[in-house]
Amino acid sequence: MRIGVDKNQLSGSHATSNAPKHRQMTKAGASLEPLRLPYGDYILIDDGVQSVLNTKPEPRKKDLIGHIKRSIDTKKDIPELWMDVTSDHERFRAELIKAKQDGAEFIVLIEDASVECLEDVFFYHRPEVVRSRYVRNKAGRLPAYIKVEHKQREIKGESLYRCMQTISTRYGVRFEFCTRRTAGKRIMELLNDG
Amino acid sequence: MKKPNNYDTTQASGDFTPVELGGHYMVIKQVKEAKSKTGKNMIVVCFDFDKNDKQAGYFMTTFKNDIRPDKKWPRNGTQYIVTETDNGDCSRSFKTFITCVEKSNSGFAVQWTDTAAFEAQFKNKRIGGVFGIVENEYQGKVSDRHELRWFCQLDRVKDAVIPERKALANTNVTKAAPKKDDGFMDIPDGTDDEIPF
Repeated sequence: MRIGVDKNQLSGSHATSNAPKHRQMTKAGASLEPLRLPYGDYILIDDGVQSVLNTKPEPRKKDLIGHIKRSIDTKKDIPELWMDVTSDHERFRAELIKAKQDGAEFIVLIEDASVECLEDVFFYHRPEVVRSRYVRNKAGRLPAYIKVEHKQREIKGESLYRCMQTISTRYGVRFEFCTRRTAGKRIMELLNDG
Repeated sequence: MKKPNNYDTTQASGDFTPVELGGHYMVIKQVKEAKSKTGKNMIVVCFDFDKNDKQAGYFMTTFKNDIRPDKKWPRNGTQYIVTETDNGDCSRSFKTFITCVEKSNSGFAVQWTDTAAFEAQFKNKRIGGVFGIVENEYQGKVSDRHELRWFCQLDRVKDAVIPERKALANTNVTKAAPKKDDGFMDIPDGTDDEIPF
């Protein structure tokens, strides 16, 4: 089984966080090939995608449009999905529209152990919390890193659930859930399915 | 004809299976602090039947099959518990609920903390419940509903007996007479109260 992985998934901090998932897939016999994907994080390299790779070994994003049958977009947890439907909404929406126009099935796979199905999201709740982190001191003086506080907004499961329902109906998106431990296996199952 | 959206999941009339009367193993989905219409402190408990119950996931299925855009957790799977009596003491129903949760989940003791932590500690905790018939009035028609009558401990679910039917309370409230255009009010016949003039 050959899986096309978006290059962003293999660079920077993403590479570290996705390593266990990728190891799991490789162990199960999949070969991961980095590609620039127009939408989503993982696709199956079938005959259609292979035909593009035959002509262009390093295809650009737009080259793959019209050849993807199913794409999986992974979210590391519910808060990441919440960010996509709120502050990052425009970028996420653009991706969904692209997939819909392309006629591809778009699956959002959420790696969060606290939810097992879409309806569980209805009861999800994260209260507002103030967190702190160290950032580089831009003034160039000592200390080199300063502590900055930031607020993590409250996540109301009911609102998120309604957003997901709308997305699902409007763009034909399917939401799937798994734990981090089973993410690699689940991606392979979803890509193989049908 | 094009197959309508959600055709496969839409429930046909007559397919409805009511909640079985008697004891049920339940799991708490959510507890929320709220205020009643009269301004009293209360908690709203949403629950479902647990995996080991005869009707496992009953309310989740109902919720999934509900196709309304603004759907809510089923009324039968929601319980409103006022926490304090009129004189500010703990209400009996609230104490019963807390005791049942504590006794049904070994090692669990309620923490009296801030709202978010208080609400969160009940999630996925197990509890028992006894369902019975409750008479209900809606738009002038009286109907029977299978509703949760009280919470109980898990070990008492098996032997729980079906409660007696709860009939509608006879209300002897005299409705206010409508005002007429002449500025006078009709006094209903048989009013024993003294006329205030």
